[in-house]
Amino acid sequence: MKKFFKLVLVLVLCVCSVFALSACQSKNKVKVGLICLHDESSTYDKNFIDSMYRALDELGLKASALELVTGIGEDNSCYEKACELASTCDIVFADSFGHEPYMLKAAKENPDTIFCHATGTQAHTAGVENYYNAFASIYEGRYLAGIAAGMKLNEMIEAGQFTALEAMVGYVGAFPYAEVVSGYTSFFLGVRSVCPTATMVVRYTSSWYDYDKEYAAANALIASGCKLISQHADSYGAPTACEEKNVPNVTYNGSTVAKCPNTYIVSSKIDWAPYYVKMITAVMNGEKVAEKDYVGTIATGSVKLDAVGSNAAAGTQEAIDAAKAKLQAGTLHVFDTSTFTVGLLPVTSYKADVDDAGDYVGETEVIANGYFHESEYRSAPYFDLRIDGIRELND
Amino acid sequence: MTNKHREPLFTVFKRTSFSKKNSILLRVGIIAFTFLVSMIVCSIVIKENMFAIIGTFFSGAVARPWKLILDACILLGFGVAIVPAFKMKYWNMGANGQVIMGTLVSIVIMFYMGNFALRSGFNNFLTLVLMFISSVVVSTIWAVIPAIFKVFFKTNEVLFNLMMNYIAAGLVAYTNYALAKGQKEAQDVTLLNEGGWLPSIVTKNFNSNYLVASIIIILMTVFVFIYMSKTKHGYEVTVVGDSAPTARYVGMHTKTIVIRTLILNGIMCGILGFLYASAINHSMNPSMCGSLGFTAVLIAWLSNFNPIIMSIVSFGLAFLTIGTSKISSVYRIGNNDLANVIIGLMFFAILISEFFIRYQVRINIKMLNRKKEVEE
Repeated sequence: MKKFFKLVLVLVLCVCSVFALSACQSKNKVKVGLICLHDESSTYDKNFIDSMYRALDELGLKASALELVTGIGEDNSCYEKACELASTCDIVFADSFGHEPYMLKAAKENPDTIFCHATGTQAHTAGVENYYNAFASIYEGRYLAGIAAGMKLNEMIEAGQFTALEAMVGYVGAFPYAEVVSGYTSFFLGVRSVCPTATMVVRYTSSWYDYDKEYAAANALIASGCKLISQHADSYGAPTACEEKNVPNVTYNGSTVAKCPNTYIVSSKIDWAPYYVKMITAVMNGEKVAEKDYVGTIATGSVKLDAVGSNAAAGTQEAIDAAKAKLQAGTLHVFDTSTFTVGLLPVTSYKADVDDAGDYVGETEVIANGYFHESEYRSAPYFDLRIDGIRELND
Repeated sequence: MTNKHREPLFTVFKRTSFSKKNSILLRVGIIAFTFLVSMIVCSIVIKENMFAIIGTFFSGAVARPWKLILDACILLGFGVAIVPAFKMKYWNMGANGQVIMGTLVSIVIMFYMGNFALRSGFNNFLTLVLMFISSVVVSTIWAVIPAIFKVFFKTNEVLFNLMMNYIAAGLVAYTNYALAKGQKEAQDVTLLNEGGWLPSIVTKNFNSNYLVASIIIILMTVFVFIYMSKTKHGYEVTVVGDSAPTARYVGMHTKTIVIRTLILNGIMCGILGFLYASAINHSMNPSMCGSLGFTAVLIAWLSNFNPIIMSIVSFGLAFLTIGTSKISSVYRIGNNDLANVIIGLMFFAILISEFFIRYQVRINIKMLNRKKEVEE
């Protein structure tokens, strides 16, 4: 009996080692890990996953270079997964804001693997060599989308649907974080650059993904007299409400033209592929990336606008292209301090909470040369001024 | 069919003629067979060479050996904690709740004392001791409440414990929210500084915390084994479990025994809760134990409460869990659904094999023949 067991044990060990060895040999040149909060059913995570496959394609890597885990909450399971991926991957990405402390913890313990966290805030202060943050200057994309919205408002005013003073925009936001504030302010400034009488109302849903709340918030905004709706939340709630009430909608994270053909104007989104390409290339070449924060821009191809819908005003595409050229040339700044006031006063100095120590105290001067330097001192947005012309409503 | 005394078509009776060697061979065979079948299913679903998948499974499972051992030990810990109660036929379904209540108080102490400790030089060791004691006390209270209701008011302990699980989960969610007020993220709070953490050495492939936690749980297992088989208390628990009236007849205080056993159960859950807070997670959330408390029931039951078999089963299950989740990530399935299907298949096969090892099924041939006659 004993002999038999020994034999079995030896056999099992042999088989194990053969498999382990074969696994080693079939290893790709580079292995990439991606941790997602939800799976493809969320537009937010789908955008990350799709971008990753595009990046691998561009780099000439097979899909098998990727290890993908989805449905990882913002809790200790993120740390465990990050460590697990680090045992086989050269570089690990995570996509949700709350993953950050767990990614950071894993990065400290696995110095041979690069850890990249999208939307995070701590890389530039944490002092962990193999930990990076990334975001994109999506405020530029939203500004351009705002131009499309403003032109639609102008068209409706000219058609006599309402007066110039009634041009009110509704905005469904998730949380009153800087990320959302920066987004709706840049959108509003875009609107006002072509429709100077426009005002805006913001409603928060306190959730990144809640169809019913977003649907209800959009309906409430429409009922209170908003002529156009935009949103920063991940479900189809607001676009659907707009389609039902026939109110134009400027969307985010991808075109809604298939589901909302009559009201879709334009959509802005972040394309993460250029960032993935950059980081993975560095790993493949054994180089070390110096900057802790990556900010994708229009120039890097990270900030994108989907095709303008058929309901947009005539000449929208041309206006967007003109503004885009100016943004890239540096002659136009989204947060130009001459274009907005706070409490009826112009803003000449503002200290933003760039170094995120959990204290909510601003320490970095971010206004210089006549504009607010968004996403320059770290990748994640920190514009949290409440400018005149925008009203926030909380439930 | 005219006869009134119908005999059943199938008769199930206890098997006596099965040698130990054969039963072990049968179990190993069934497990190997199911594993092979599930790997074939995987290779069909993933459209990939089966041997490559098996390679991924094994290399993934052993990639972080300390984590594997820890996972196995945690599973074992949950199982061991409920063994005395189950031996007594007290169906404690509340291990999850009891453990996370322990974690809850530990985290609260960590939150207030840990920060304070780091700032003022207050002894971190004292913080840990305080966490340990309160974790054990609270878990014990959580375990004993249903026991008191059971012995004095004859309530059903299964439902009561399940309800207590929900209350515990709610309390954890609320506490996270309450601690987070004024802070950025609830779970980060206790991650930001290391006050109240067990001192540890962490490298890429080694985490001394995992080792410490595993050793404590193994000691716990040894203790329970000795307690159940060598002490008077353990004997009393078995007697109460086999027949409460007999126990009363020979003069045992059944009520005291039940509550005493549940105190032991609570203490062990408290230790697990403390380990979660100080060594394993350093944070909490309502779903952090998953369904471990229920899986542990299955493990304890399958192993006939034998700690050595429990260890083997726990290790096997942890191996299976980590290996299959690696398959999910390497082949970009993303979620753990396929892994869960494989684990489910495995359990199903084991349960069936246990049934056929313990019982024999005889088909009543006479009945079949009679049926045929009637039909003819």
